[in-house]
Amino acid sequence: MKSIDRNPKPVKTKAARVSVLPPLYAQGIHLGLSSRILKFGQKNKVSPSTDLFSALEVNMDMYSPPQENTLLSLLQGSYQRIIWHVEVSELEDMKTLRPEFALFLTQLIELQANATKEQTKEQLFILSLQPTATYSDQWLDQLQQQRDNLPYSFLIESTHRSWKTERVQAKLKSTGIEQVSLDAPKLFGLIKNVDDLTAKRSYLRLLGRNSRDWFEAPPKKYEYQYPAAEISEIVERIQRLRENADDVTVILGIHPFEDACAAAQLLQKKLLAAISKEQQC
Amino acid sequence: MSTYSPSVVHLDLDTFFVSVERILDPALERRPVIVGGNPFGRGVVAGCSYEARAYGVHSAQPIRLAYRLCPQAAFLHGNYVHYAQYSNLVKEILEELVPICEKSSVDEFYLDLSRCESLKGNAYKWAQEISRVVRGETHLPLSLGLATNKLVAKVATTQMAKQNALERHYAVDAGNEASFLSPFAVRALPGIGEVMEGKLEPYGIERLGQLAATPVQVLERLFGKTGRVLREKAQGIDHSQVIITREQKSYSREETFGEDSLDAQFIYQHLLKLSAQLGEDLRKGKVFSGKFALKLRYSDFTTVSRSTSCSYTNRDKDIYQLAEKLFRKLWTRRVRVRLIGIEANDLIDDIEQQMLFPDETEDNKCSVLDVIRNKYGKQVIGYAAAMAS
Repeated sequence: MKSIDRNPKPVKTKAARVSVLPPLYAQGIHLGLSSRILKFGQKNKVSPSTDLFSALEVNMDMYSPPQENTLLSLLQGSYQRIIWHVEVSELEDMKTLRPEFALFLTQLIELQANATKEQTKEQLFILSLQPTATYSDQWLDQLQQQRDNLPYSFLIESTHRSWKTERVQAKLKSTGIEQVSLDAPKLFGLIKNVDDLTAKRSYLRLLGRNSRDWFEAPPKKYEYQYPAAEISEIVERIQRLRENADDVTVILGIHPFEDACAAAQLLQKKLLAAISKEQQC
Repeated sequence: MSTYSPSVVHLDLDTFFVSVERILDPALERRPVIVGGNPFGRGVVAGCSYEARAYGVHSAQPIRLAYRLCPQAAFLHGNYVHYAQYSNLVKEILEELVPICEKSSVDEFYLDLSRCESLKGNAYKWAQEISRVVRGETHLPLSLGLATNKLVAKVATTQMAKQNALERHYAVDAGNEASFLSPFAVRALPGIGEVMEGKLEPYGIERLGQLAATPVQVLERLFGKTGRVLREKAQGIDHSQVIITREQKSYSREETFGEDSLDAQFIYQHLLKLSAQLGEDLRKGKVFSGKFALKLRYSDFTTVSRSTSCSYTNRDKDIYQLAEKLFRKLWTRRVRVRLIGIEANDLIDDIEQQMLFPDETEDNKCSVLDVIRNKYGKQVIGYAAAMAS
């Protein structure tokens, strides 16, 4: 016969453990996944896993604004922050935006206004320049103009080394243009994993550490199976950003979802542990 | 009156391919590494580490022999995209630092620092500073030689700077060129290979000092004009200039139809033709492109364009597939098409072609087409599907 334990020990369920720790967004860190959307009724790739986190980054290029129903479904997710990450093409001189970009913005803003009247989610807009876009002073005027016209917070993502010089960084800071930090393979000189530790808003995009296939086309390029040691490095980097910034957003990329989601969950766990340890101290 | 002497720097990226591979995979540090592909194949060694050289391995050696000499080495297939990216990066950094920069090969650069002393002070110190910046930014080891001309600067790099494990730079003072060169074997001089060395040996000319001292009439009688040139070189005389290399930023091909068309099949035929022409241009320029753009002009002169990034390529088939995909996305109006064009951007050197890495079938097909077109004209061969256009 089975004996009955009269004084059972309290069982620590997963839910109970989570409820003890403060949610990440309450600590000023928005963690999330990114998702690419496609136009013309193609099956879009917004994963249900995105609802597990407090931020969603929506990737698109300037030729493909989302359809109204896609936009509506995106805005109905449980995340609190939505980020429009838009890859733009430059003109042949690679120093000016194509005229199609203005059209794209108008479409996006109109679509959003039609899709929902009351907007409760916080929205950010990232203008992502291609790696071939080199810095010139022409860009500065254009970026300021775009930022002033947009109803969202505005950041830029640039990868060419000409943007990372002290002179250009100082100019961007003086004009108040916020930037995205990247966590990418350590390809010295080609990709600069530089953080702006004076910015009030920090935005970190994790692109995997797959240096060997970095110049291959996606999905071979991105690899989100971070070993624990790399996750710890990223946690330290986020902690450094958090020391100065009021708000930190951390996004894991597009492909493949399962790996990115697993890495995001591990990152969340480690971040919560680090914060809890910090608070105990 | 002060005498003016030019200051030319030769900068060489040490074991370049291996250094890039070590950036990609730090586990290769301090191991013998051989770049060149399958150790049982028919290729040659494209690059090897100093650890592999200790076993007698060297560049251009059959890779099977390299395997016999050093079987414990890590044998790697060359990753030309990474090499080209790093080579371009070094060039970009150098162009920011010095006014005149010449890229002579994927891992060699000449810099002209002449007449900049008033701005930068001592040329040798400036050269060392350049070395520090490039090394700091790219983590690539490098050696450099400074002299009054390109030839002596190159010998200073290969014979002196590369041999010095601690300070990988060496300067030859103005006026000392001949005495600097004289103790080196004749093979140290760029332009003298195994064959010429064999021809000089029977006359007892083994050192550059001996070559410089040989009467010009004797050398001219033996080797013609080459004899005079070699003697001048052995004396450290070289008048070649450092030339600024400007690389083409993009390649494009476009075509306006004789009559505006709504026929998709007809447009695809022309796209294939343009893709083949663009592919040929890229291969001729020895470059790969990582970004293609398609331009489409409707009969009402509305022009739309769209670009896409891809893995680096210069194959006709890849270009056509991308162009076709872009065209499907771009042709959204039921309006006749007047013009189509394809542009290739984001170019990198085709080191695969330059270094004779093993070819694949598709590359071979393109190369054969190029050879036939070069020999018999552009119209003699093409893709059957494009012929109707």
